[in-house]
Amino acid sequence: MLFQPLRLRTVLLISLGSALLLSNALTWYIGQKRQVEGLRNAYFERIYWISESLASNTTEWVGTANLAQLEINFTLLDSQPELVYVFVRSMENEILFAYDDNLIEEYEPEVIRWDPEQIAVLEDREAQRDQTEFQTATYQLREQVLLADALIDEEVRGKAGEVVFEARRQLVFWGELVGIMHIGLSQEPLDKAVAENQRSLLIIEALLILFGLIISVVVARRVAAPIQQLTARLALLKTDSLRNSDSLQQFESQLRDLELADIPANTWESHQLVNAFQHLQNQLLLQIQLIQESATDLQTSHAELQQAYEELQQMQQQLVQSTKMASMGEMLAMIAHQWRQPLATINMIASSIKLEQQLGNATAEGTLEKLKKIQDTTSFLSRTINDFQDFFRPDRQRAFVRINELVQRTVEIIGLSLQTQDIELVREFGELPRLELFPNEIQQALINLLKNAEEALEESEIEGKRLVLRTYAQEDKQVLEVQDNAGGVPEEVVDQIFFPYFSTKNKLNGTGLGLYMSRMIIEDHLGGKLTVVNKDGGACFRVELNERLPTNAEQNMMAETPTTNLNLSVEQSGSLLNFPKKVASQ
Amino acid sequence: MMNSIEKLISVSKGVSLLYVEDDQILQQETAQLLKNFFEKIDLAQNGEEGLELFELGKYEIIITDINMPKVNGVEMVKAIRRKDRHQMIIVISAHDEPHYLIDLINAGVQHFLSKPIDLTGLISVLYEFCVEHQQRAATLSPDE
Repeated sequence: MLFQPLRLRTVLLISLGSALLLSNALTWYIGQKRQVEGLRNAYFERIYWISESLASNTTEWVGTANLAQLEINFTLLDSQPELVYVFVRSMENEILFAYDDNLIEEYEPEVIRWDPEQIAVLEDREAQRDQTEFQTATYQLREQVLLADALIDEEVRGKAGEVVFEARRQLVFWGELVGIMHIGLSQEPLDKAVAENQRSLLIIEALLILFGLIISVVVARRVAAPIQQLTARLALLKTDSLRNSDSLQQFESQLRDLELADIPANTWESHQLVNAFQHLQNQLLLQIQLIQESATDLQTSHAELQQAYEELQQMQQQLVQSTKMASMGEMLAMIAHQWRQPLATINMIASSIKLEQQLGNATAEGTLEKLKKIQDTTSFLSRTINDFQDFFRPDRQRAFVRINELVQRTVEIIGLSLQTQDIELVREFGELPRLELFPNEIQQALINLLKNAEEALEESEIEGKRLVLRTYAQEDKQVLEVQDNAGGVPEEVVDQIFFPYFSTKNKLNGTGLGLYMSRMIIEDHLGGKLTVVNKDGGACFRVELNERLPTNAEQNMMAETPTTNLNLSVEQSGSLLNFPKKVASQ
Repeated sequence: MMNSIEKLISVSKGVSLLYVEDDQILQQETAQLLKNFFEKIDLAQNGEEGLELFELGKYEIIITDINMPKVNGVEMVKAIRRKDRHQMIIVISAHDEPHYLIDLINAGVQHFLSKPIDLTGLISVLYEFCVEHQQRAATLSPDE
């Protein structure tokens, strides 16, 4: 994290410095080029003036052939350090005078390369002189330039490599060309001047760069320091562990302690930046506060939901319990009903024996026969007890049973009351293999269905009341149908009949739990399906059972998401929530 | 007890009886017991049969159960009452049909017996009925 401000500053410095360097180099290059040009021109002018002065001093002596005087004049030349050589030629190409012969030899100036054409050119240029503006001809570089009447030849290289500028001058005496003077001047002063100039330029450049560096460092400091501090402070925030709510609180306190206002924001930009971050900090704090508030809300509502769910579960249990109690009550009523007749019979036989004894007309065979009848009846009673005992056994045991046998056993429990109600019971049993079931539970569901049909038939005015029990196989499932002819379920309530406490029956003993309980047993416990359709002039309850029961794990899953109960809570939440009151009132 | 049996036998001769009960075993056993007192006992399985027999012959006493298929005891009693206001009827009640009792009382049922039938109670009611029958016969005969 510490690298970031450093890098920022470095980038700033480098970019600033390189920009300065580049611009400096450019100005330096252009400037130098110009300066060198200027120096050159100045030097050439100087050469011209030297040649002018030499020409004016010597022309007369050349014209009059006063060589002694010429020599005297030239002795003065020693005072001109840049002067390399001077010699004067006559028109007959004879060297009249030479200053420093050795050098002349070394440079091999035009002495050897004398060319009459060149003189013609010179003459021609002389002729043009009047017509041409002096100044225009003066400063033309990089060619043989005629400076007034002096021809300066650039870069006559000596044997040692030294460069000499040669000026040639016509010596005109009384309108007559009497000789040509060659003046060789060293390039050294020009080089020196150029070097001098370059050196001073370099110094200025160096100063400029230094100045630029200092300025950029200062600016970078001022700009980068707040950013650096800001970054350092922001780096203290541990955003990595923001996932759980504890560290959110920690994060909040860290954020609060950032103290961004302390950062020395001494430029406008950094001031803006720090302001923006302060704004951001405040916004974040606000958001965190909101998140924390909504988290608290969420926790509260979660707790409320949890409580409601627990209450619902409790109600569910109460519901199951009360249904169980209700069906137990029904069973007890059935037992009472079923026992009444046999008990009356036993009582009657016993009374009969007693009476015959009192009257004295008892025979041993007759009495024995009567006693046997009593025994038959009591053993029937004990058989019915077995049926009920099985039914009330609390454990839920899986067993492989034939559905037909189970239906038959159930009919035996309830059948008598069907007979009394004048209901014809029709069995249409198909050949079916054994099924894995909880026999007690399916029997309980079946009793509920039979009771429901019986009550419907009891209330109806129809002639020829019929209750059909039908079993058959369908694909890999077994189906049991309980069909009555009591007119069927009214269409407007057909969706509701499996809801708890829903009852169309006028009688007080309709608990409204029977069908709900049946569906819960068949669908939630046995993994089957219970539906109802209206057909053949009555209701047909259809129980669909699988060959195998769901495993315990599957059952737990079903218990966690009880389909029946879920439908309930959505569509009839009112009745569920009012459940305890209803129980109390009942 | 012995006394009451003898008293009943002394008055029961010539009294005919209709017994309506749907449980065949109970019906047979009860009929056997009653044969000790009465010569003529007709049996019916339900209210419908009972009414048919009532139409065919005259019975001094009718004993009936309540819960029966087709036509139950209450309906039968009401039908009989419409034809004969004085018919002596004993209804055997199983205690689990209280709502029927009011109907039956309104229909003028003179006596109820609870199931299982108590022999002493049965004998005493039958005795009363037989005596009443004799008295009725006595008051009617001088007019003839």
